[in-house]
Amino acid sequence: METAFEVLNLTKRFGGVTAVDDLSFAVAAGEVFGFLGRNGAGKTTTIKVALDLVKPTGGEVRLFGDDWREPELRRRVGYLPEFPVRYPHLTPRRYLRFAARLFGVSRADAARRADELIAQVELEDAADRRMGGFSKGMLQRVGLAQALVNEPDLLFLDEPTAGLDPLGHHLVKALVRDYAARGKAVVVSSHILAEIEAQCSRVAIIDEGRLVAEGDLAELLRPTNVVEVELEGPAAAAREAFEKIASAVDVAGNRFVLTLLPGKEASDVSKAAAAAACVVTALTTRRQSLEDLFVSVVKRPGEEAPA
Amino acid sequence: MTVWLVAWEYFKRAFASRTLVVFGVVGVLFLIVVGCLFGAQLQSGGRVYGAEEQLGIARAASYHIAVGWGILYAVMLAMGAASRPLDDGRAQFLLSKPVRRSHVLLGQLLGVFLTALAAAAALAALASAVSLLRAHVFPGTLWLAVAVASLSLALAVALVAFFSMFLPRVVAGMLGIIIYLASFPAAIGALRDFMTGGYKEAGLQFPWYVRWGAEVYFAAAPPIAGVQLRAAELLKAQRWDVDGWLTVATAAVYVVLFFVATWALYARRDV
Repeated sequence: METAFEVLNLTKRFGGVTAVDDLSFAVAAGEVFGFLGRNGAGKTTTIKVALDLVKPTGGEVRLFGDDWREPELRRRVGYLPEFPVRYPHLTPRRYLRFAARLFGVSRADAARRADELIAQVELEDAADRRMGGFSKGMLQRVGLAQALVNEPDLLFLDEPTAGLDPLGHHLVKALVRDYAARGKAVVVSSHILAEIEAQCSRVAIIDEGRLVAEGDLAELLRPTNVVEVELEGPAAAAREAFEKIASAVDVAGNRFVLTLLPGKEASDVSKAAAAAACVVTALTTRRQSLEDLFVSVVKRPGEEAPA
Repeated sequence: MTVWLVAWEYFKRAFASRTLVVFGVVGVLFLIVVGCLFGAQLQSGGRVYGAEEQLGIARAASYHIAVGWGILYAVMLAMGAASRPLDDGRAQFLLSKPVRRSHVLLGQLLGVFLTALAAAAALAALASAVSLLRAHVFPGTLWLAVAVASLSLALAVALVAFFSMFLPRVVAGMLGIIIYLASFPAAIGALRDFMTGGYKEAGLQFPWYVRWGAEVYFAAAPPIAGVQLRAAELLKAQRWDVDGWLTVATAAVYVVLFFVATWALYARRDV
C-alpha cells in the first residue's frame, strides 16, 4: 500500500526550544492515523512542516514518496488548521469558490464544488452570510469544507471537532470514515482521545517533540487485569469463588466485573466459576483505554495529570 | 493565475473595509480644503491669473494631492500586506493549497498596489471632473504621467513591505512616510546641505567621506516623491528630459530590489 505521509528524523528548533526532536513515522493510504500529544508537544509543527509552512531544522518529510516542498504535491493534500478561517468579509460560498480556484479549476467547477461542500458540512442556511459573525463551530465547518475542496488523498485534521456541537462531531466522524473507506489517508490530531480511539487504526504519541509510542491500537492497548464475565448458575456461590481470585467484584445480576489479583488470569475465572457449579457464557478481558495509554507514556514523575 | 486570484481577493477585501471609505472621505475633504487655500492664495497674490493658468494650477495641485494621498494609503496597506498574513493565518490557508510562496507575496503586494492606485485614481478623477467641465482637453501626456506616478506607489509598497518583515508594522509605515517626504528633491538637497553645512559654516574642508556620503544619499535616496514630481513635469511640459527617465529607472530598480529583499525574508519565515 502506498505511503501517503512519511516523517524521517524530523527536527525543528525555534531558537533554543526544540519543538520536534528526531521524529520518524509513516502513514499509509487508507489509514486513519491518530497523532497525539500534550499542548506544545510538536504535533501542529510536524503537520506544518509537511505543508512547508514551517522550515525544518533537520530531517525530511515525504508526501506520496516525494519531496514535501513541491507545491504541486499539495493538490493531493487537505488541511484543516486549528484556527481555520481568516476571511471575515467573505461568505462561505465565496470563500470555498476562492479555495477551489486556487487549485486552478474553472469558475463553474469552483461554484459547483462550493455548493457540494456547503451541503456536505450542512451550512446551506448560512452559505451567503459573511463569516465575520460566525460562531466557532460554524467556522470549523467552513474550515472542514475548505480542507476537502480538492478531494484530497491525504487529509490533515488539526483538532477537527473543536467548537463543534454533537451533530458536528458526528459529521466529522462520518467524513473521516468515508475518506478512509475510499482509500485516502487521514491524520487526526486531537485531544479527544475517545474519538481517536473510535476512529483511528494506528496512533503516534509524541511528548516534547519525541515519539514515545506508535503502532496499531490493538497492539498498543494492552489487556488489563479487569475481566467481565457472564454466567448461568448460582450467583452467590460464584461471587464467593470469585472473591478468592479478585481484589474487587462488581455484580449486576449474572454479570460480574472482576479486578483480578496479581498472577491470576482469565482461565482462573473459568475454573472458579466451574467450582461454583456455574457455566460461563461470556468472558472478556478489558483492554487499556487510549487515555490510560496516553497518561502512562506522557505523565512525568510527580505529575497529577497531563495538561 | 494564482497571483491574480490573491491580488483580486485582497483588492475586494480592502474595498469591503470601512478604512477605505474613511480614507476616501478624508481625501476628498483634504482636496476641497487645499483647493480653497490655493484659490485664496491666487486671489491674494496680487497677480491676475488667466482662466487657463488657474486651471493648470488647479490640475497640478489635485494631481499631487491624489498621488500623495494614494502613497499614504499604499503605505498604510503595505504595513500589513506582507507580514500580517503570515501571522494571522491567511498565508497558512493559501500556502496549504498548491500556491507558491512567491505568488502569495506578489499577489498581496499587487493587491495593495491596485487598491492604492484605485483610491488615488478615484480621487484624481473627482478632481479632474471639475476641471473637465471647464476645459475639454487633457494634456496628451496624462496617461503617461499616471503610469509614471503609479511607479511611486509601487515603490512605497515595496519599501514598506520590506521594512515590515523585520520591524513593527507601525514603524515600517512611519519609515515609509519619512522616506516619501525625504525623497522630495528639495528635501534631499536640504539633507545634503545639512550633512555638509556644519563644515561650511565653520569654514572647514569637510572630509571626503562626508562629501561622498552626502552625494551617495543624493543619488541613491529612493525617489518616491521624486517620481511623483517628475510625472507632474510630464503634465506641465508635455515632454521629458533625461533626468526624468533616470528617476523613473532608479525607482524601478528600487522596486525590484526591495521586492527581492522582501522575498528573501518571506521565503524563510515560518507560518
